[in-house]
Amino acid sequence: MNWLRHRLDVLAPFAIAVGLFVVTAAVIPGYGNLVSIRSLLLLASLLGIASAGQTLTIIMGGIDLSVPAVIGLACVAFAVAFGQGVSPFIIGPAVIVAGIVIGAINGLISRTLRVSSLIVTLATSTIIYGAIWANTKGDNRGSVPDFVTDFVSVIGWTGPIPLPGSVILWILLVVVFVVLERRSVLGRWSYASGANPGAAELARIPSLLLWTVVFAISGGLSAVAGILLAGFSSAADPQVGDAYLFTTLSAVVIGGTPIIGGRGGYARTIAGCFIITELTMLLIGLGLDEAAQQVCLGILIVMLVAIYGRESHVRMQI
Amino acid sequence: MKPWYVAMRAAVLLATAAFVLGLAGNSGKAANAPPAPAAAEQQTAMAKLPAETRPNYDHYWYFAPIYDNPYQNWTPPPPPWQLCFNDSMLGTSWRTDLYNELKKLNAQYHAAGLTKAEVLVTDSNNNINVQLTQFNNLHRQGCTVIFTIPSNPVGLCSGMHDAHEQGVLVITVQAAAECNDAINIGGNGYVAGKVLAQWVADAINHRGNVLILSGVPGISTTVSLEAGSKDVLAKYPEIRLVGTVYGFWNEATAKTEMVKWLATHPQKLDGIIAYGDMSVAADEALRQSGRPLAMQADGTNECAYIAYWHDKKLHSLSGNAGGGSMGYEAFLIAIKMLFGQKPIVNTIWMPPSVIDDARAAQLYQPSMTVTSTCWADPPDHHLIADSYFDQFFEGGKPVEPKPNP
Repeated sequence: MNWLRHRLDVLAPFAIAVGLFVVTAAVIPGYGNLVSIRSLLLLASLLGIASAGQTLTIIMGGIDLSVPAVIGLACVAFAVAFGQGVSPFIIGPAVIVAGIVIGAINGLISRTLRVSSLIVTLATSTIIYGAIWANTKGDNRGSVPDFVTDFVSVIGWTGPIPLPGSVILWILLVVVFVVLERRSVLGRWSYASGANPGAAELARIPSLLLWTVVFAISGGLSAVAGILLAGFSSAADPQVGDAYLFTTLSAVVIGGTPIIGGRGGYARTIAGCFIITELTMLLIGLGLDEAAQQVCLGILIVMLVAIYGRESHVRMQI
Repeated sequence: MKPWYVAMRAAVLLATAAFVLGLAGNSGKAANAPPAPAAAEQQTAMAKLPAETRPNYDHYWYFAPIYDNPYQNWTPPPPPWQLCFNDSMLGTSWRTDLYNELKKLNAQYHAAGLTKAEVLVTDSNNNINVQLTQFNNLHRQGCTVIFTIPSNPVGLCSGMHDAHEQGVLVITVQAAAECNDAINIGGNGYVAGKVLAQWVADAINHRGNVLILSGVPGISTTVSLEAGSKDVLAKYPEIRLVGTVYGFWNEATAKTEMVKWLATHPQKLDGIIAYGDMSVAADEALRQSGRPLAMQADGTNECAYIAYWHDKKLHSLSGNAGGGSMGYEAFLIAIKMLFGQKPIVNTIWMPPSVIDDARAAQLYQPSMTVTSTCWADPPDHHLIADSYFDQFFEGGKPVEPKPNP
């Protein structure tokens, strides 16, 4: 019975994602056409890439609130440097490395000082935003190479595939993350640490290394999301990632990964990304204004989590 | 699972669905418009203004009340004057341009021995409490004039009152204060919203579907812009306002919201009224969604839109409201008052300044691209002829030397 209930909890987000699409397509004329589906896939892929690192940090028992700031930093650094003539093949990797270093510092400080990652990553965000303002003084003149813009274009193609590059990148990322979570040492350590950090340390799991690597992954993927958002908006904007704090956390939790860690996985977050994107599109399609959308989105998220996201922590089930 | 528990979950689901549908039914009906003053009060306020300027104060209560000049009994101190700039967030190219203009004009008057060498500046990063503390520090540092962009229309009022009592001239720039301790200079969002909507309505021959691409929901600027636009569109029964999308004056957000909106609204879109910095994103969203471009008017003259306008050979209209130009106009008001001229009211609003196709072609520079964040200000930084302000002032001496933007 418990096995069945667990299966239902895992499948519920996917069923809701599919159900939402069917309902929206029935309610809103034209929602089922190819352009709308590609729009949905593109927006979900941007959220999915930004949510990947967040999922792993939450499974491990941490949380990364610096995602929006790293996205903003990457967007500004990439666009401004390219605008000044730096090759995208130099600045792109450099920005991703910077994101990895910021993430690694987050993990290192959280674990070394035994300070909640919530506080550390919040402080990092403040430092990053301050550094952006101090360096640019608000003058974020920049540009983005066309191939990056095409990579995140609704009507973009990837070779013969009629999908933009970011959707293909997301699919590859899903494969890598699912393998990483289920087949790698890092994945097993992450679940063990999230389930019971004390027991994980007694089992000689190197928590300092684990936290450093996982937060570095989160920082690196946030930087990738920042570069993609620079291409999407064709602008250097430090606030471009602001919307991704609430939505990445929501996608993870709605997908069924508990905020206290130890369970879940990126495959579930995929469903969360679709649910969040579909819900906002449905609310817009129903003609709700911004305030009403926010109210409804909040209520719907609480409702969804109440329906299937209330599993007890792993250590309470043993 | 117990039956009562299943029933409770179902009830929550149904209640939420009903709530969502209820909101959908009421969405857009409840505007955040401030209550209009009584007709007699409006008449009294408007009677204070020069007749020619009254159209610029249409629905003035969206931004600020109209009072008598709070500095009627103020005597400017002898030079050199200390100019100060209390900004809520000196983090955008618009604000930087404004500050640079103040510094440039201050240097001109410093060379004439009339002002001190530096413009003292503060930046509160949009924290009104920090801004108030910085404001109080500035008037303790001996500022003669404090230019300010308050992040809240009432948040600086206590500081403004103290500064006013101590003989400091306070001038708000494009962000009026509710209290009568400052001179407000800027433009009226309601009128600007009307101008943009009228252009779009005319451009689509008064029939078709129109979308508003607005900024941050609920603040006085967007509320007044939307109100002005909606009042114009309502005059044309064959124009349908099909939605309002909030892009938060941010390209990425605007494009994301436009993509979502277009994916859920298959109907033809004939016109877009955008309130600044978001038109390029709107057009990209249309293009990438396989839709034809719509007739579009934009609220601001950011270089990106001027470049896009040039590249795509658009027929469009934009507002002319760069930070450098606003800095010049604010400085002009301050220097007039420092020369003893007295305004007749606390709030001085300019008529909307717009850029049409011909003007856009003149302002375009080859260095501008669709990602440029500069502002295509007119070279002389005049939003309007200086003589416009003469009708608001009485007495005093002519300004000499004249500010050279």
